[in-house]
Amino acid sequence: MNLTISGIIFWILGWGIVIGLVVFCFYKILKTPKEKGFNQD
Amino acid sequence: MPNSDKPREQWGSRIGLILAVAGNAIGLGNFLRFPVQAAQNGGGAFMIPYFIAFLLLGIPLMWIEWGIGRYGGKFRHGSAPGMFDVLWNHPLAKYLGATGLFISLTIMIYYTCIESWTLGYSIFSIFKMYFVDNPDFKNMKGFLDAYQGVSAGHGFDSIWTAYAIMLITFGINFLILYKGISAGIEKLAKIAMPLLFIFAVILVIRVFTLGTPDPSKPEYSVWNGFAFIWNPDFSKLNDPKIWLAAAGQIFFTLSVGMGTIHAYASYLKAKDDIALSGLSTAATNEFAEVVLGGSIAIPVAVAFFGVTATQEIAKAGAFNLGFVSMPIIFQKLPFGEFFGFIWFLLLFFAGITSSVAMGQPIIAFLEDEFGFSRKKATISLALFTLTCVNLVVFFFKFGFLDEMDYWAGTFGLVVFALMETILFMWVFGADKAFDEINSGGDIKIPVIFKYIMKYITPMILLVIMVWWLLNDAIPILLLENLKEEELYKVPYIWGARILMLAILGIILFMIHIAWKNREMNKSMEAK
Repeated sequence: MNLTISGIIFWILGWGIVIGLVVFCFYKILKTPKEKGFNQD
Repeated sequence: MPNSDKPREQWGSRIGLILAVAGNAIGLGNFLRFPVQAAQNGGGAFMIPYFIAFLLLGIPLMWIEWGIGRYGGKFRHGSAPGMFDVLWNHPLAKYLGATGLFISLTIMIYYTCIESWTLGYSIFSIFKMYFVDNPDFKNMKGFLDAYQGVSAGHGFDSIWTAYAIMLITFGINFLILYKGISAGIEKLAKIAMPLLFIFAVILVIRVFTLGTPDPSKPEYSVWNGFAFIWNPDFSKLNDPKIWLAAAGQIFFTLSVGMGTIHAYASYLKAKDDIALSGLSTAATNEFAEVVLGGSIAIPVAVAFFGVTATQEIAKAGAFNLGFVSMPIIFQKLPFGEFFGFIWFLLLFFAGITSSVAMGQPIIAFLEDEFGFSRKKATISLALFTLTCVNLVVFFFKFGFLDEMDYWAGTFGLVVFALMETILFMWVFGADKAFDEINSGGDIKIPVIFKYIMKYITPMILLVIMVWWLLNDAIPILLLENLKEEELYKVPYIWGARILMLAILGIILFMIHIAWKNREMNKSMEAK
């Protein structure tokens, strides 16, 4: 069983979606004012 | 009596909360169950239903649970009975919430046992205790069986080694729970989660650099392992079982339907963000699963055993992959004791960040509804759990754990998730629920998710529930799945069922008492 072109495409897509989502979330978190709302009344 | 004057605990930082909820979600399943499911169900093609289920089931449920949790926290409720009671003004609502407490407590009872195996194996790895001259599946299965008390040999004359390690695991869990939300659970997450990711990255790098371990067998290569996971088999997409397997995997991996996310979210303030935090925890879990979990166990198994043998390993289940196949591989690798140590310690960290989350709803219930101190609540839970864990350890070989895992850890989850989705999106109201989730949000959730959460998510849950009911639950209930030689397990399986019914009964009774006390207090205050 060799890695096929479609296998590589699915691998890149699978990792790409997940890494893209993580980067988006943590970029948004870092952009938000520090510790917004936490321990503040 | 509930203590409404005492301020509730709080999370110390947002990153701590995200790591704690991600830690709750990231478990053994990310590293053992996911690669097996992907390889068995169409490889790369499995990722199509997987990501669709993530979008339509996983993310919506995540937001629903964060929303219910933070809303319940406004009314000083950190567990499902109180939360359901404020969502639905009906005497039945609080009793439906018992399901959330039952599931988290029952899973915690047997999960502590599984978690202790990972701690045990990390110690065995560093001291090369399972290392032999010619390691094979029979030998390693024999070691595992002997350690678990299923059979004797391999240096284990009794179950007491497993029991001692279980007690250590149990003690660590309850020490963390006793320390509380910020000083215990959050601190654990801030230490264990970065370590888990570092260990996983080290292992992934080792796997990628393995190449072809035995040059005389060029087809046994790590790249063929990745081919096994990622090469798409589109013909499998016509099979509804693949779609159900993908939905089931998303469901398990995010640890939804357990009442744990609710408990964590209840310690947020009314205007704290949940939209971005919920999405971030789901994304972190997916990273641990798809990127890291998919790159360790299965590719390395193919590199050492070939595709055909790995298919057999995958069919034998995730535990065999983790506790039988991986120890063989570590014995064949240079510095295998080190890689074995970090593999099992990684699984231990994944386990403990999940098990403390399972203890929190009951502690919150005792604190919020009965006015218990943290210390009193933790000791009460520890004593009850320890009594039940003993049954799981000593009756493991009789199928006690499997029975609890099916009803609480599999079927129960989907029942509770369906219940909470209907209560939040239909009884509480989709508009109010969606506004509640978006309130204080650092991102604006697209409005289409309101309709997904109202119509699509419960529909998928209903389909999964009916499918599992017809194909698994009824045959398991009627013991039709037992082979002739397994009939000796029947009394113990019924024992596990009676124990679960007793746990549910005790929870229902406690809810009844808590609300009766509440009514009495209200009438006394009115006078």
